Amino acid sequence: MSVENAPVVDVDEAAIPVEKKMYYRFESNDKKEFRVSELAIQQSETLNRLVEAMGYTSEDVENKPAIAIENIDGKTLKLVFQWCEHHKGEAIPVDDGSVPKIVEIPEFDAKLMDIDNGLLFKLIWAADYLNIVQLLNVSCKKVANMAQGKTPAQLRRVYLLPSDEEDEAAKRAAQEAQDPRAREVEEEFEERKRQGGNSFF
Amino acid sequence: MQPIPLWKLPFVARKNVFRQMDPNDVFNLSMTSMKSKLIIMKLHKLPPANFSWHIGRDQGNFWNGTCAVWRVEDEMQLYIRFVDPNINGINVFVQDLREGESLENLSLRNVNRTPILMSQDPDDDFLVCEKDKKRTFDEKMEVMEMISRHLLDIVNVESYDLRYSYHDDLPMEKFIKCFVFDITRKFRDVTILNHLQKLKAREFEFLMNEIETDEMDLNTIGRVNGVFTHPKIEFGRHSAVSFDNILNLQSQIFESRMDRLLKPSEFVKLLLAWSNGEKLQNLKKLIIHHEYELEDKNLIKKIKKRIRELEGEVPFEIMEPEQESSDEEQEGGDGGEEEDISEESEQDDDEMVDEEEDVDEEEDNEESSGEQEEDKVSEEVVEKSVESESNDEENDIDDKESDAESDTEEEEEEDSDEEPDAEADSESDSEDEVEESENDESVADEIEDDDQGDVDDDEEEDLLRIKRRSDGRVLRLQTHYGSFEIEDETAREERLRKFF
Repeated sequence: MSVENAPVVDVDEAAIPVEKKMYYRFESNDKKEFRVSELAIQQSETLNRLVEAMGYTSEDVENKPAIAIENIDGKTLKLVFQWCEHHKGEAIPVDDGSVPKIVEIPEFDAKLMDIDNGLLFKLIWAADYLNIVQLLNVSCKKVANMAQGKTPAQLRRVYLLPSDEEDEAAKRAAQEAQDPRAREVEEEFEERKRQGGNSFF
Repeated sequence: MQPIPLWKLPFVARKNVFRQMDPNDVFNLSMTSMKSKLIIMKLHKLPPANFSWHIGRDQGNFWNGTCAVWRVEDEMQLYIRFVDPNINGINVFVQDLREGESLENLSLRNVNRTPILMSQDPDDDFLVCEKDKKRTFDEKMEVMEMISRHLLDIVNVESYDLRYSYHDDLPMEKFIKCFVFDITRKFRDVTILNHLQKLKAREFEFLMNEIETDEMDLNTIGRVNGVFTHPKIEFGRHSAVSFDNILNLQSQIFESRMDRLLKPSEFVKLLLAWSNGEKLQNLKKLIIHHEYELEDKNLIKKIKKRIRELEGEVPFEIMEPEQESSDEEQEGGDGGEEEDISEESEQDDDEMVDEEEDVDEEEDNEESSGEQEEDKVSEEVVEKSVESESNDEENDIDDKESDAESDTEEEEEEDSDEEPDAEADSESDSEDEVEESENDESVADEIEDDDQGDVDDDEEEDLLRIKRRSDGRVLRLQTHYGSFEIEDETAREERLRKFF
């Protein structure tokens, strides 16, 4: 198990109240461990509830095993906790459901998200899973911006959207894949009917 | 660049993406495939918006880059304006490629499975042009219908506007069958610009009774027979209304022009009909423009005089303190006023009256005959009525003659469907006048006398406020240079409160 030195980003010590200075240990699905401040964890509704429910003391944090986050890998989790540490203490935006959703991407976030789209995709999944509202907002904003000024053909490439022909081909293939069994069932049904059976099952 | 699979994002995230995406990009996305469109249609519809179609012919001076050039071209535009002003609108033009222009970034877009070549300019406007050929107007309509229906599926529609300008390939009778009316019959604003065709009865019927709109700007030629129904109507400057039109108004706010000045007796008729709760019950504001030379500075005084003659019988009272007293001249009495308020005869004519010139001439004659306040159909009749001033005995004979003449004219007009002129309202007006002529003439004499007094007063009046006895509602009648207004005072106060 590889343990990374916590915290994942330089912590502004002055910004954290001394009495609240407690770090939790989390482990990614590829066994990478992270130490995250209590204040940073508050950005994630999921993790915040989890640690509240656990009621860990400082000793528990050190003595007990790291909290496992099963479906997020280390690379993604590192980005998530970096973001949380940077934005710790900030108010969590309340979504009023308005359209358009006005979101600005801060410079730090823009740099953090200067990553390939595969990792961005994982980051969005992680932000959604951990319920980190503002991280989800900015990462989705980045995805929305990718559509700007693109033709439908370009959008298909950017968002990996199949064309009508591809959709139909996939549908046909799926039907064909199902057909042998469907044919078997059909034949069996017909056979039973011939034998005078009233019920198929 | 590595793609990011949009449809594989978690639902909350995908919704978040769509809420932050520019509507023009969502439109493009919906044209990537039928599946994309269906997902957007079911889960990520664009916010409430107004659909506004401009259909017909567009003409004017256009800047071609070096100079202004006069251009006439087909107009086929759909503009989607979102209720939230912070959201960019979607603008689609179906047009021919203009000379010297080139299309860049042309791309086939799937509009409900139909591939359509479309480009998007730097202003984000979508242009649907063929590179090498021109579409006919009907083809453009078809394309616009397809695009409109596609967009209707992906946008939450709040309201519709429609502007039609006459096009040879889309005359009025064809326009009322166009695809827009299959999509909706309820509009926020409808504008009709047609200075080349007379509006037929069927078309007027359609526009007034088969569609609903909060506002209508009806720019046509000639006059119409029928009832104006929509809450707010501006009846264009190339046309004119009749007294019948005004009396039967169902609109709240109405503006038009008239090719003659309403007679005081007609004003009284309007006021009585309103006070009795028979007509104009929706009226908030009525503005009628007329030629400046028809201006009558003593109109309010004349109306007041007519009202005074009805005193004791009328369901309203004058609110303004009366400045001038002409009690002495009320001897003549007017027992026949109530009879004047007969229902206007309904007309069956199919065509609008187009002969404004004739009516204008008529008005000129009236003017020259010393504001006789009689609408005569022909100059001859006017001449005869002038003669009648000097010879009371001949008066009856002349009236009979004019009756006979107007009857003959009516018969002739009824016989000829193709020539609808001098018909409709002017006919009904003339009928009324024929009925009233005796009475009106005697009143006209009185008024002339009265006019002298009024003019001597040098105290012009331009406002008359009357209060309905039944519910206390107040109506203001105000004259301006070249127009008069009738306005409900409560509505006026509301309007001013909003304004200030």
